[in-house]
Amino acid sequence: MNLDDVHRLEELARRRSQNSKGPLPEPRVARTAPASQSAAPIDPKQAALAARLEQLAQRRSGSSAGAGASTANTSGSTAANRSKRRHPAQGARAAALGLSILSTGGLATLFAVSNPSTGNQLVGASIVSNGPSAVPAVAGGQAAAPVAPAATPQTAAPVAAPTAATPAAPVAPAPASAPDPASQPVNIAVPAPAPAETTVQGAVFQNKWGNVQVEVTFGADGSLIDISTLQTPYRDGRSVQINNYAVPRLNSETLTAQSAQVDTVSGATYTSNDYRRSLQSAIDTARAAGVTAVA
Amino acid sequence: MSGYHHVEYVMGMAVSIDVRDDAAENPERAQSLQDVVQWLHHVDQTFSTYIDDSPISRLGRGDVALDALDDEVRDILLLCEELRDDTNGAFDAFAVPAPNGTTLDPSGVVKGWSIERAAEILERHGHTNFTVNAGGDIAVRGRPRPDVPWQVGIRHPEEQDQLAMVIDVTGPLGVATSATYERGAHIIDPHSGQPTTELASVTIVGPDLTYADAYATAVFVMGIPGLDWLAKHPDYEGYAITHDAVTVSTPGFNRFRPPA
Repeated sequence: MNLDDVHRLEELARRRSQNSKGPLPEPRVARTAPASQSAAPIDPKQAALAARLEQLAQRRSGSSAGAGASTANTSGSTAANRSKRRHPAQGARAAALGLSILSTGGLATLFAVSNPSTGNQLVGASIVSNGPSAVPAVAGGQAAAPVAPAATPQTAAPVAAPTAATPAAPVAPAPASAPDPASQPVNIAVPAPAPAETTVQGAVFQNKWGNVQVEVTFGADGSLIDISTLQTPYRDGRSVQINNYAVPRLNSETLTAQSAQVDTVSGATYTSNDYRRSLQSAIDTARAAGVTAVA
Repeated sequence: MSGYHHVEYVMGMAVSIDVRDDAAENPERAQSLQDVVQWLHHVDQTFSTYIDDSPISRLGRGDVALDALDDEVRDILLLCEELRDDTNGAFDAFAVPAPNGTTLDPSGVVKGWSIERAAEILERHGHTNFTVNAGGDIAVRGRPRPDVPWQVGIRHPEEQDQLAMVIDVTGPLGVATSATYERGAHIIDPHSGQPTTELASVTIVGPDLTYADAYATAVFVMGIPGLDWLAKHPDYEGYAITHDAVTVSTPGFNRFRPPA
């Protein structure tokens, strides 16, 4: 191996490291709090903590803000200190883009229409997807944290599904560019008379991370009842970070869960007052009376 | 007689301890409850930001040096820093105004951590089937009955007496939910100093309630993309509800859904 080869290999390694997103952080092995080493300030973590406490002291002497504040107020100095940090919304928007790619691609390539009650294919139901969609309703009204505008070149070219829908009811492709999703809610029309409920499977569609397929259920009035994801671009535990990992579902489960038997309730009850009014309180009362699960 | 059940008011909330093991097999039950209750009050006295002379309040005001306090205070703060790095600052014990007027508030990790330790205390006393539910954050061990998972309800974000869903949980696992159900209660985004707005509630299920609780707070701050972030911790699964009643979950969360 001569010097040129060495340089080439170095260059290759450099490119690889630039191209890759870098290794994901290793999952934590030890789940316990780190052991204290009070006599060893050399530990970088200890040093960092000491620096944070020092910052806290500086903020204290630099501003009196925060005194008595208990909720939404924040001191200017706190905001300033944080401003250097990358705002999570930046990463958030990128990831949300993935989410909307997933659903846009899925909705734009709907083709197989079946009635779950009969299992028969319904010919003639037309499903029109106007415009790109972020996850329906996720974007709505959430101006502070919008789900990203959709449609990248991948989504603009949906897999043209050999279709079970009639020729008269073509599936509209997603436009190449995306207006604000909040102003462009997904518009899905199912012509009357509609079946009580219609389940539609999207074509398998590929984005750069893998296959995506969604299944959408519509109510009799054409309203969207449920979206479930049959396939996600989820190849292995190591690649999911760049994928869209979240699966959108509508609130159909909230309709059915209420009559379930439960042993305990997870929910944020911050105060004893919250607790007294909570379902957990009712469960505890029933438990005290010997009931093991509460409806 | 099977097991025991106790509600302790501590840390400003109710902690429900539900032990299902047959009492005959656990002669130590009285002692186990006493130890857990004592532990919870100790944590409250040490870390409460509502108590002006608690060690954490004094540290936040600069009245005492970290080295002068018990090691557990340092351990908690190191854990907070680890979580801040891990969450790109979405979780930050040094950034949000605390009730005591300081901006040092590790409460977001103390609750989950203390309940996880409470579960360990019960295990040391020989209990294997129980839940400890502290304000909706639950350390789960074993099962309520042989071959039956715990049915854990997830509170509906708007209807306090209703459930958004029920999951099947067999311990050891932690289930934590972050939410702001009522006006006035906020989770603050440490970056902006503003209340977070996208999600109504976030539930995280994973092996250690310490982390499940902290991740629930972090994902709540991050919004839906936080569920993507959660993929870096493959043992932890998330379920979020938006203000529009859309639910979003990680694929692995499905294993907690009851069979249809």
